[in-house]
Amino acid sequence: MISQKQNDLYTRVGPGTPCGTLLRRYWQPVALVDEFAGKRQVKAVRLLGENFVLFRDAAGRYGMLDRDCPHRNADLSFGRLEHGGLRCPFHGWLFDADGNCLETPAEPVGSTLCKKVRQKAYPTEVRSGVVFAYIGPGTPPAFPELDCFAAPDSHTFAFKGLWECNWLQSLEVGMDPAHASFLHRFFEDEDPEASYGKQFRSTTFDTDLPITRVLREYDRPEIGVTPVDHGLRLTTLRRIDEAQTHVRVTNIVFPQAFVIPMSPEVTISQWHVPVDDHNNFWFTIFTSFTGPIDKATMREQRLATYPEPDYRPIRNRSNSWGYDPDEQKAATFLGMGFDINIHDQWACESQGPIQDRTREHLGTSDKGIIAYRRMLSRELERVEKGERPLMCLTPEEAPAMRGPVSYDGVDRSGDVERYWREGDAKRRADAPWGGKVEA
Amino acid sequence: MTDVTFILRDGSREVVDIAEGMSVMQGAILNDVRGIDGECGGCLSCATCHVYVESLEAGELPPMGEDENGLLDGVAAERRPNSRLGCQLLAAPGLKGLVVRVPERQV
Ligand code: FES
Ligand SMILES: [Fe+2]
Repeated sequence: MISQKQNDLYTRVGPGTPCGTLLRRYWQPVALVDEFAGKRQVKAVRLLGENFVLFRDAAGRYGMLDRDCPHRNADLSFGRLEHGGLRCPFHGWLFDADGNCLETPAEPVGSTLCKKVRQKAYPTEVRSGVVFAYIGPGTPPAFPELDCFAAPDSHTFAFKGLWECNWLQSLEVGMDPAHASFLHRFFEDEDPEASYGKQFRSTTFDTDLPITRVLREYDRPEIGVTPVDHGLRLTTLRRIDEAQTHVRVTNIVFPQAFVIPMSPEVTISQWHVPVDDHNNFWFTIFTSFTGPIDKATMREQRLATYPEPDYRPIRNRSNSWGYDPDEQKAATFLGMGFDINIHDQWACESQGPIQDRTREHLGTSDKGIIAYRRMLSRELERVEKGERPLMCLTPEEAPAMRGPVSYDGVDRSGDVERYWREGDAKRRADAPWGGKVEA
Repeated sequence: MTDVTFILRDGSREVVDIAEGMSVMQGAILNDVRGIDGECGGCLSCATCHVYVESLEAGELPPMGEDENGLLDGVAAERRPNSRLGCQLLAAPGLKGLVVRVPERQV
């Protein structure tokens, strides 16, 4: 439970707000490279309550500019991509990827107006199928060398989706390991062979138990939360019997991402990026530690529920997320199908556009959420004092920011920490792209 | 309505009017009194609404329950004879002149 003032402090991210100022100190995912594969190479982007246009010019360079044309403020996302830039359809002003005005065709011959106008442009970088942009002050921070950035293109796949609620409640789902035993409960286990590209469906390391069964039958996990260089590490233990403990190691990468295992082969790195105070996009990079990722299958699976061009899920508040009371009786805990992404979407969207945290009651199993809010408070104070916040990395610091360890398996040795550390190290050593252990 | 006085870490005093049936912790959070966290929202799972009861002019505070007593053993600041959890101190008719001091730390 927190005061209204504190809730506003954590959730409001528009220009000039404390949290908006903090989040502007980081590279933010703004689009998928796949969105530029079709015929239209210009996209409207809304990030942290501000409007931008993102385009790829004829030379293949990405440009992100303020969306309103500096002439009379028409919407440049309807612009024409031509002559080395983006042309406003209202009066034909032309801009390049750096925001330079190249032409003002209605002005008299010899006019120098276009030399005096500049549209604000923002740095962009492409990593693992995601276009990142930096809209904060000064030079952008360095990218950490996390697995999702270190793995080659063949071993990563990126996707995104819109959730219609505040960013923080979506991120908080990722630091709440207890919910998986309830929200994602299936009454029957399915054939693990049919689980490609899905989370919590296969078996896990060192056991034949389906993970659906472990979650269902062992629903009172012991949760450990440790502050680490990149944010928080959560270890979730489910004691199966005297001899066996299921352990799941997950991470919060400050300020806005979590890194969790999807299956023994693949990890999920997921950002929750505020569109504005009431909407956020999740951006996920799937990273394979074994073979290349079957991107076509992964994309097709996800487009079926998050269609282009908006990536807004077909199950949403307007159709009660497809809720089926018969299914809830017979097959799943929630009654909204077997896709756990939809379960998480329902959980956070159903809390309202901004969760009213003056009305919540947190328990022992919510200690990840409590630890994160403390960390967020501390970093907000730092930024207010003009200091550099956590994970706003210098080029010297970035190479040491590796991993992080994320693991899911069953320990029989009794030394759980050693078990997951060794298991993770082995998985990395075996990765064809040479994944490096967390520093 | 009951006036409760909080003595903050810097020694200043803040008076909050707390509605009947609400706890000292809820009153503090809803009015943004600094130094009382009440992370769990009052379900006795966190011990971050620790206060020292300095004085009370009239009325009676609810007696300490077993759960509260147990949690007070784990508070971050020193436990003293007048330590209580704010979530267990309910504003009630007849309660007058309650003064509580915010401890040095809650975590
Ligand atoms: S408003 Fe864009 S060219 Fe005129
Ligand atoms: Fe979930």
